[in-house]
Amino acid sequence: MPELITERSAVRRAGVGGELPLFFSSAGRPLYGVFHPANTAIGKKQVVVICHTIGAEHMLTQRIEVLGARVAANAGFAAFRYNARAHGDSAGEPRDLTFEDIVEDACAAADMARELSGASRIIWVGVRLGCLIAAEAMCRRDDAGALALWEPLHRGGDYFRAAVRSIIFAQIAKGKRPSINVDDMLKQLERDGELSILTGYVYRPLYRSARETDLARSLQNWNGNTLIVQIQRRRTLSDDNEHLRSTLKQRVADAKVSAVLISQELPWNIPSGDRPQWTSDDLLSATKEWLDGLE
Amino acid sequence: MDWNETPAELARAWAEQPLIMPGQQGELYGIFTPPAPEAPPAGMCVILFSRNRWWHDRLTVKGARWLASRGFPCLRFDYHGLGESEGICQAIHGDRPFTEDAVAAIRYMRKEFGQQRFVLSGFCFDGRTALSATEEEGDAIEAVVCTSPSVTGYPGEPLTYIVSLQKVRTFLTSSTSFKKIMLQRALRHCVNLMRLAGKSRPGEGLLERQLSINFKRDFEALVRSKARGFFLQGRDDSQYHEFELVERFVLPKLTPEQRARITVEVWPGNIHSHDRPEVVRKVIERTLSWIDGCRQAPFTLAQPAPVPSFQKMMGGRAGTESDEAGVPEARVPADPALLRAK
Repeated sequence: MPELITERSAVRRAGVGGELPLFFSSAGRPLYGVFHPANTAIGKKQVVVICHTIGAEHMLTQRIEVLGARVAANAGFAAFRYNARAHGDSAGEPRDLTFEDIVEDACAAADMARELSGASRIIWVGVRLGCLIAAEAMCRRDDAGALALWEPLHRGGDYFRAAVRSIIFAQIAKGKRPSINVDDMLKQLERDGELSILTGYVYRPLYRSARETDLARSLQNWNGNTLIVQIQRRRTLSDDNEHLRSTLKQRVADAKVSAVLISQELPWNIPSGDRPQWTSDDLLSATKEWLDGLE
Repeated sequence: MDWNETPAELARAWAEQPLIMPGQQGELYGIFTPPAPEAPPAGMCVILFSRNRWWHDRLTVKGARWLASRGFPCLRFDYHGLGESEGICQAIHGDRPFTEDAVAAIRYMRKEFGQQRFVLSGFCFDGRTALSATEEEGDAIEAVVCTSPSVTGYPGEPLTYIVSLQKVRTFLTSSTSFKKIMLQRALRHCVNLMRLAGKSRPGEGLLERQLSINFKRDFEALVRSKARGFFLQGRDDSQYHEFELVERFVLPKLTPEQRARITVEVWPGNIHSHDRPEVVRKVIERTLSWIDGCRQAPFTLAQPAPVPSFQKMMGGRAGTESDEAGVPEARVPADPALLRAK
């Protein structure tokens, strides 16, 4: 069970809507988290836990996680956001990080969320690679109540390919011809143990442990209420999202699977310092509407 | 610098305290890193500015814990409308720093944590934000680190760099789509120039008028404040092309005593680059070393010789011009008496 590091947190006062920023422990390290108590008089029995994505994508999506947690709190659900080890304000060394470690932190966050909220079940919200993390964490527990997937990555390998591709985009944007292709860069990562990408590095342990992860496989036993939000510039669900939606619906006759399309193309792996962090009223509205339908 | 998390830094991570500060547009969320009790107190609180507070390879997180393990209390926080902080961030413009957030952070650290002396540090826009706090809080500021800031009042290259040999070469060898982008940029620059020509600032020619009036005001506040300033630039960055206007029109007007407090370091190559995190790490290491030097021996880091940790960072060798972003070129007065002056 993770420990709340209360005496060290020294929170002077709660923030917006009683938000409580704190540190808690996971695998002997302090992780940063924020607890958002439910803002309505009738608190729901489930607590929302948001699993972030990683790397440059995390920078882009952090703000929407914050706003999403506030939306959940206003909808009557307590919510908990956290930074996995070696991410955000948490401690940890990225060189040694594996996908297993990140899932372990998600489970620690879920325990913390339940302890702080008193809820018995978890509504998992995943963002991009965070969807794979949430799905894996759900497999290891028996307290999942519902699942929201925000522009899910269906395979871990997709994250690394996209991250590496962004290097090529950056070179093209400077008028340079890329000297190396994505496959060669991934081989380089395998060989050298690290690869510089935009705004940071990817390391071999995480690449090896995450590249084979598969969302459909992790969710093969899942039959709860599910929201799939696709954020792409297309009018229909992508093949992966459509396959997941139909599989979930076929598995259980009365499975509640909602899909929402948000027509927007985001440079997930390309940070921009001259733009504010990304937010989306459509995504927040869709999530609120979905939460309103939950108990 | 060891880029792995050291035991001392992990200890500082355990000691960190989340905090929520009042800001003009709502509450600002941040993290306070207390100094290591075993380290000699630095007597200065370092505020590390970034968007969001752990942006770009978490270098502010690493920096705060590294400095705290050496005796500096540190703060990192999210500006309004970014990260966890309240408010709405409509746009980020290099010439409109978030001064009110910076001042709010200083005042909060003074009121709640008893901090009296401050070092402010930031990269690009965040450097401008750090610098902008000197207007209101100059008396409390010991030093400002302003890395690769934009100093003109408009986006785009200064007049002298609108057409360069490198750009022509890139244009000729690039794809059609990139040629279109370059032409669009050139058109925008022309519009900027026409606007510039239409403005008048007494006593300033067209070239000097390119310098942002906001930057000049903040720089003058820095000079008045008696705080030290550290400007780090990459020779091939457009930000340095802009900064050459400062070297040409602003620095020469300083008295020797004022000039001695301003260190300008220019590295070969680019430092303002998202796709080269190894260079950004070197830049951060240099700025952290410089901040650390503020406590240890004022002005020692203003001297041309690289500090030991910087040499170590370079693999113990002297750099050459062929090292991209490798070797600092310190630009300080040669008179040692000036270096000692304060």
